[in-house]
Amino acid sequence: MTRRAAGVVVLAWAFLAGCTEDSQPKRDIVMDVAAAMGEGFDTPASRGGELYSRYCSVCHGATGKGDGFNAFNLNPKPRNFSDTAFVRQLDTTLIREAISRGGRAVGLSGLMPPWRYTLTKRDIDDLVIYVAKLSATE
Amino acid sequence: MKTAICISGVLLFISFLLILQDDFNQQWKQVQQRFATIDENRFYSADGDAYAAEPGVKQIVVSGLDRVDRCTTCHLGVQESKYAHAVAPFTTHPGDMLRIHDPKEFGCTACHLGQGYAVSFETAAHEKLEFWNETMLPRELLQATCGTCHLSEEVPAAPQLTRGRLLIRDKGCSGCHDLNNFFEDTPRGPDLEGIGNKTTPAWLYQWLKNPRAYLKDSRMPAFRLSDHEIVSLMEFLMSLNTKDSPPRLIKEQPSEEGNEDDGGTLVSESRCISCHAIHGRGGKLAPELERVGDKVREEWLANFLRNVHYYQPEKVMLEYNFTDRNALDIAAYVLGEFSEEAYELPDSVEALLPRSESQRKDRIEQGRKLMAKYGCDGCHTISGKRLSPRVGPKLTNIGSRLESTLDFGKMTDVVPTLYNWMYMKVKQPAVFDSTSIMPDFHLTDREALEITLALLGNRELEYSEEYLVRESERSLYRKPAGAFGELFERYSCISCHSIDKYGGDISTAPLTIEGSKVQYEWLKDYLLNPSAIRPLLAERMPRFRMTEREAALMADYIKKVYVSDDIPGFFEYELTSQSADAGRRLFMELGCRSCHIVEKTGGYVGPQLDDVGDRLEAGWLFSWLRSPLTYNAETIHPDYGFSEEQAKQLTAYLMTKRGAQ
Amino acid sequence: MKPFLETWVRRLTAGRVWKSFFRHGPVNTDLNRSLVITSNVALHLHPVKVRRDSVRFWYTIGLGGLSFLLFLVLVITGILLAFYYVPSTTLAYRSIKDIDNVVSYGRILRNMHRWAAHGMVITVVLHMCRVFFTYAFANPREFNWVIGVFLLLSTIGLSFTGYLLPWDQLAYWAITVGTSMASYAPVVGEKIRYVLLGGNVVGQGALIRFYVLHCFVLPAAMIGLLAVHFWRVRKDGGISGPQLVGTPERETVTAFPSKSYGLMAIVPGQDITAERYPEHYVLTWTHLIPKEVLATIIAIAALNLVSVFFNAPLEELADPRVTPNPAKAPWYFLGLQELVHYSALVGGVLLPALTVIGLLCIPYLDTRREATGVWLSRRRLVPNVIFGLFVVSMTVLIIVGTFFRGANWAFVTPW
Repeated sequence: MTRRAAGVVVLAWAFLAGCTEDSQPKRDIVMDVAAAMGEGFDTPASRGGELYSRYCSVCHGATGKGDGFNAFNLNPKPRNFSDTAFVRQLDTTLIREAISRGGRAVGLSGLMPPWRYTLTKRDIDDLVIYVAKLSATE
Repeated sequence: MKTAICISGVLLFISFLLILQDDFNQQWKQVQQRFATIDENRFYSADGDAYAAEPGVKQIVVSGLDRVDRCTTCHLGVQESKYAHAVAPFTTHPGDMLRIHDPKEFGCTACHLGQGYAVSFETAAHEKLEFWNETMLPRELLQATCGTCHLSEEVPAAPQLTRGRLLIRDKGCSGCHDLNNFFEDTPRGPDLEGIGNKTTPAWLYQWLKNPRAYLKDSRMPAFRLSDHEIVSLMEFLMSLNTKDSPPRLIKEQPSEEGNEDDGGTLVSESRCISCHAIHGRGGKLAPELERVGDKVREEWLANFLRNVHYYQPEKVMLEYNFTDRNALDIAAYVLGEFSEEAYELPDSVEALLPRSESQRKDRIEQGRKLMAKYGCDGCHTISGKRLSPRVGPKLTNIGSRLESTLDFGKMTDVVPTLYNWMYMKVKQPAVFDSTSIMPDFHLTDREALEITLALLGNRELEYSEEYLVRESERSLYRKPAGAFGELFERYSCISCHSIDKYGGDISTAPLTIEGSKVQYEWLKDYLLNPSAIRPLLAERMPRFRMTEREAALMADYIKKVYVSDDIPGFFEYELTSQSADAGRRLFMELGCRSCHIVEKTGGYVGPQLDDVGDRLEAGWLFSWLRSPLTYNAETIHPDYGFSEEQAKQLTAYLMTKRGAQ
Repeated sequence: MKPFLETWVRRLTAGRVWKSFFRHGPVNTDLNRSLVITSNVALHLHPVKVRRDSVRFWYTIGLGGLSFLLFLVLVITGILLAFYYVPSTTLAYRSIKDIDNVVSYGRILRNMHRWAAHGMVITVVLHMCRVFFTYAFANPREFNWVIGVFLLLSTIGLSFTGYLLPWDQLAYWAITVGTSMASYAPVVGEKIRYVLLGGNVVGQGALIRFYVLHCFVLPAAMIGLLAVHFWRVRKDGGISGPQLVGTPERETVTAFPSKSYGLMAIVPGQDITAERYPEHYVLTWTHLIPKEVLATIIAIAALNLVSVFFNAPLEELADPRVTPNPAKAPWYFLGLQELVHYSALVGGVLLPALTVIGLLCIPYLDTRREATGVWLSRRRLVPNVIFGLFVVSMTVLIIVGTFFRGANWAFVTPW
């Protein structure tokens, strides 16, 4: 009922407002800035990003190309996550397993350590989301 | 008459029907009916939770937070994971926040704001609602309300809030504003007594005009001063030249010129770069030295290097055991190396300079007043004293500021919310009022946003004490006793190393349990002649030029005092060559060399391990391998979940790595 | 079917139980119509017969009755609201929020109470205007006017004390402004305010005082005054009306059995002679009661509709640190506040005092006995113009104060 009354008021207001001035849409600056940051803000992908740059980027590289500064030292070389075709053929379970139990557990390089004792389950979930995204953005 | 009564009777009946249907058709009843249709289990929750069990208005009374929240009347699935993919009001609360903050204890609106009393979308203040001040926070700013209860500086689950608070401390906001007491109120800039001897008017002019022209990461904000004001401040500052008798005075005109080459060697040996960035590389604790040669006077610098703690009572920089000769060499090197061209006053400013002694006095007096007006002493004391109280408004309750009291000036095209106002204000302090004395901090969008978020949570509400999380473990700094304490302060250990979470974070080695970690002999040698453990880091331990006796004393104290009872002091396992061999196999298998150098090959991510047997205690290695996160929550060393046996084998292997052999 | 029903109705109404409730027979004779009135406690407020002039709608516009009806509505809704309301500064606002949000029909109840209260202030004032403009306070009804003035004051007092109870910003500042007007009185002003508020500021002391006044003291006073008011209407020969024309029937009644009933005892009888104008009187049951029923139905239906569609205001929780600009008194005091803006003494002290004293004195100053019971008689041009100007100017001031005053009491246009 109040909505009906409100409707009448809004209509009346709209009419009056229409007579007096054109109200232009206002800027919601903080929301615009947050939106522009997008990834940078607190989303699962951005938490994943923080974890990635902290734990993974030394070997896998800041953008996931497998070109981290420690990569020179590794054989086999770290994975290139920006290779869309490659990442797409992986399913997320494999990525999750590789992160949590290490490369050896999924039949890959043993140089990839297991992180399940270091990171929480949620951390790993966020990382998986982020890694999947790395290929999508390139 | 009868007809009239009948007609109006019908009207009366209809009006009562309207009242009835108004109650029957309440929004929340419709929403709950909708919930019942999408959900086969209707109102029975998975774990037999009583409060969600029946249709009707649901409420959570949180007396400690003075709130009654009826949000769960419509948001029926917040605590049930099975509604993760349900539509709008019914969906599960994202993340695991409700596990930490049980809604039964905390309600909803303490975090999200909005009107908890209400049971309709509009009146719950999901969007701006007339006569209700707590509009629901947008998701982007949600961490703000964490800060209302979490009064400690760092809130791990709210990284934006934490970063915002660290920024508030780092930018020295509390110099001018009364913030919550956990933002330290320590002077951010150097004491200004004696600045007249340290630098030149021309440097001061351009510094006051735009600090970033000299130092691009300057912590000093830009004050939008007129040339007239700058000249007054300059005269006042140049008059502060009484601090001229340090204990170990080098004569004003050194008889012999310093040797720049020797100075250069000393600078690199002393690892100045660990704290001072040079050409963009190096530590961030102390100012960049890029153009310091155009700023300081040579004789002042030489005296400073000999008497650091005389000039700097807060003892941030360590005092090297430099001789007069060393100091002169370094001063000569610094002035020659780190300079581009001398600063000069523009002619227009030259014209403003006082011409007589009385004019100068007026200027100095004006300068003193400007100092107080702009709150310069919020950061810079003069002989350890402040001239004036804080010049900015108190911000301990800024998050409760009513939107109706905000003055947006000419910015009428902005949604008039408190957060927009604060963001614009910190980003560009003069945006609403050109006469504002608040200086420009040149914040990035992200910094401004995070500061806004942190301030938004500063609210003085009548919350019960049990809900407030105050600063806890951070212990305060206490000078260690005895001769060690003297040395500890002299070498400003605390500027780089932390003890019990207090102190600097430049060093990767907190001293809290250092005694349990390293071996005595190694420590003593390291203090005398530090080597690079992590060659990739620019910030390395400087060479203090301390005496052997001092090094022995410090190593002894550290070995005895900074220990953990949880780490075995002596290793109870036998380190057999057998287990060492097993350890080596494990080491190679796990790819430890990806990050550590052993036997001359490996990565640079972790410390090199070729002399680790000389450096670390076996008990420490064992404990660390078992559980690295226990000893350093920030480490990126993976926890491999080693068994006791595996850790023992690895320890045995690593203890065989002795550099001398 | 019909005969069957009639049989049963007859059986029921002829039974002893029915007879014990209702002493009159079917309402189809004038005798029974009279008995309906005299044997019913509520209807007995009315005489059996009333003057034909006084039941004309446009003579009274039903304003007195409407005021009484609204008072009854206020008592009933007020009692229901009082079940939920807590007169404490920490809980009052919350209990109003509860009434609005989760008490069944609570929002409607509060709306009815609020709008009926505003309505009652208006109808009571209009009722007074009607009485003035028809010169109905002429002898012998002077004293009932005086009672009426006290009823007006009680009404405003009830409204004003009720204003504070929601403990929101509107309430808090209206009462702060309203009571500060009282403090403009010389010497005793501050004391009056202190007594009213139970302190120097509006706080818990004021809230509990206003609550007690609103729920107990003023309603009791109101009921007492209403009783006298109605009783005097009967004693003064019903409500006023124009001079009766025609030849009266003279009737002499001999008291039976040559005795008369005095106040405290039976006294020796005397004959009572009355002048009657039978053609000017009509039965209450057939001529007045239906009109009253109709008016009641329409008024309640209207109140229901208003209450469904328009919510009583409830602003933010009262906060002494946040002063709205402008802070306005309740609307009926805005005329005074407007005057206070020019002169605190005039608006805050002189005018209210003179108004009350003036109203009380009117029937004793304005005593020409002519044109009683006639709307706006030309023979009473001067008093009518004076009173009319007063009412109009107060109304204009209230409208100005309500709609045309913005921040810092500056003139604004409401559109």
